[in-house]
Amino acid sequence: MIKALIRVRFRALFAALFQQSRRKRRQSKGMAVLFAILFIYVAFVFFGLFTIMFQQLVEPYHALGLDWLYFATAGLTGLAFSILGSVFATQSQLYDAKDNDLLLSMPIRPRLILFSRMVPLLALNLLFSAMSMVPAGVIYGANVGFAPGGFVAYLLSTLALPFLAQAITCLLGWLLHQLLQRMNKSLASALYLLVFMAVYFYVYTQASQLLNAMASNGEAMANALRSWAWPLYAMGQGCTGGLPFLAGFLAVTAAAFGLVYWFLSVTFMHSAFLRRSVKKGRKVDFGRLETRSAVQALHRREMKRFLGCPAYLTNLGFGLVMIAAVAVAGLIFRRQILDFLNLIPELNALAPLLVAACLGFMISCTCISTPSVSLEGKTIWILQSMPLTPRQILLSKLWLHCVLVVPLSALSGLVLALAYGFSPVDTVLSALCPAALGFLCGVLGLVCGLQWVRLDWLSEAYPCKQSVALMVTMFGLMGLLLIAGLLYGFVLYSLVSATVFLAGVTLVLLLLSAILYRAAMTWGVKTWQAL
Amino acid sequence: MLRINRFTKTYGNKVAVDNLNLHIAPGEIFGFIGHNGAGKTTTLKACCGILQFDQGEITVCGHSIRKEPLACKQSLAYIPDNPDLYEFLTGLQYLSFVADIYGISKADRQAGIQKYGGLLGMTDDLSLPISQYSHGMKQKVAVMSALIHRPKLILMDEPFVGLDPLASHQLKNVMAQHCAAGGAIFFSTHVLEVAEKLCHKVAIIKNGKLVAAGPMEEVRGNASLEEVFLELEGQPS
Repeated sequence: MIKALIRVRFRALFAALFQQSRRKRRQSKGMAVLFAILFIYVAFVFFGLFTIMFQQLVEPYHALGLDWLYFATAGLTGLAFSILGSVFATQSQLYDAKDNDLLLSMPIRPRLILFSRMVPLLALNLLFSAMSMVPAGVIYGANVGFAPGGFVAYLLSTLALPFLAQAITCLLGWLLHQLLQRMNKSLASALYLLVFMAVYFYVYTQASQLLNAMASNGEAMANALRSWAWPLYAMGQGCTGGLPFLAGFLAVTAAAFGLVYWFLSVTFMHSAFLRRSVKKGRKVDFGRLETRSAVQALHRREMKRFLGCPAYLTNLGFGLVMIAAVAVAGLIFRRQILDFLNLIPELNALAPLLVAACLGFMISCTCISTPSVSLEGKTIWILQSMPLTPRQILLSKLWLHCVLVVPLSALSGLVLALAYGFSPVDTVLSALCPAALGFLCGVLGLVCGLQWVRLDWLSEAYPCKQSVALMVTMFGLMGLLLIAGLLYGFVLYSLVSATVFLAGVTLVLLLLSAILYRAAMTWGVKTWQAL
Repeated sequence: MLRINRFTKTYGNKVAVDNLNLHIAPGEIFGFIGHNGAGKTTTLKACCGILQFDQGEITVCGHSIRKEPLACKQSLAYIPDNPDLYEFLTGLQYLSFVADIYGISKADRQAGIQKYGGLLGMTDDLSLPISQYSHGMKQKVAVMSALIHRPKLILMDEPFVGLDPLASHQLKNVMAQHCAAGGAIFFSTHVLEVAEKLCHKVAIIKNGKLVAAGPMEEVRGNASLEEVFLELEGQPS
């Protein structure tokens, strides 16, 4: 039975990635290759980031005889990455899945349903923790070399770490579920987003100081870890050959996972059926009814969905906060950044490109239009049966993206350009280029959202977080930025100024946007009609 | 009002509806019955422009659903068998959204919401988010949203599923009033007693093919609709 349940979960996962919803045909080989390349690219980026980080840590820690702390840091990073990346997915997979009612009505023990839902989440956590554990192991092996038994201990630790991460994320997911059922969902999501952003921003801005502090104050950190995070201390000691410590780490992990699993299985029925407190309806004030045009009504509907759907707001709204955060950070650290730029005159000349690149990266994470078609889900009949043209409907989806992303991107670029004293042409381009990228993100997202549409999702988290359309839009745009950067760095740097290049990039972005816009209004309209 | 000529719809190799011909005139309540998977929902969805089809023609008030979908949709309302509505809106916001799309004036929508809200016992619940509604409440809001813009033709897929007896009774009254005022209703149902009492005409579909159609008295003859249906399905009554 458990095999069948797990098989269904993984089938759903694979179908989501490799099967078209309505047409029920598999993706072509070309698409499979594209996804493989995309996956390798993402893995390359993250592995690269962590490789740089561990390269900085390995020698100071080894010199101080704190090798265990090196592995404990890798474990801590993997754990943090897993927790940040999968709390919402855990909450929605465990408690918001639309087939919970069906499965709970069958003669299946709730704990088995729970376990079957935890297995794909475990795989997700394994992926997250491997992002830091694998580079850490490779760097350590290449620079220091493993102690006898250390490598096996490292492997076992890498495999065990997701269980510890799972225990923590499940507990947080449970807490989040209790919170969401008692609070306004969007308010709770916005609160989570703010806390997440505050932590993220703090870590991001303090990253170099933290790394330096970690490298220079190893002993203090070691003491802190020993007293406050003994499992990670034990894991670190285990990886450097302390096998009793490894046994301790495995035992604590197994106990934590077992305990959380037991707690969740006991509370699963109650939590899965926990319904938001139903309030009594208020008397309707008909005098306050407003009238709008059809287009305005569509716009309002899109905005209401964005603000009223926690998965949509948290996953895609995150990018909006980041676009604003780039400008705010640029203002806060203006003096330090200017000092740094003035040290290297060549870099100073590239400042407009750096601003565009930073904003471009954040804009790539803000694909608000991408999930909007799939989010129609089973309610798609409403729009389809109304006297609306597909063009009006698709434009309303693009409108939401543009109204949120384009002005904010342009404003952030403008603020940075003014703060850093760019020339008038660079100032205009610094606002125009992010705005053009924001628009491209919108039309590309719409086209991808139509191409890889899925209306039969069980949780809103799928179109907003895990869909193929989202991955292609996000990483496609990042890839475009990377290609532009490489092109300038290796080919055009000595031929054209940053201003000319930025103007060229803006033109290319506008041209691509125009092509994709046309595709959305022709092919996209037909695709919508066929849904 | 609604004319279906040689309508054919296939899914891959499977013929869901084969060469269907029907005509629903103003003032008629037309029942559409058949076993599960017979092609009822496919036909209803094609009539309201949700589903594209392979052959044939469907016209609503003289407009082709293929060539002039907006003109057709302006005169019709559709209620699906499973009323999935926007859970991020309240009932009132949803009705207002529908009214905005159909260009209903403030006074008319106010009157419509009050009238049908009172009739279906929903007025006090309209301020709640749809996510808090039961299946029956969603069905009532779907019915209200269909009636609020005064369509000439209403297409309903199993409209009585999930409704309480009182709401069911009120809906039957509303249907009768709508047709008395010159509108038409084409609806599918499995509740043959309801079809028998409510419909002026009936069509029976089996495996995508029309096996009987016409005025209720003609189709039924001296037997009950259930007996006729079972006989056509090849089942002993």
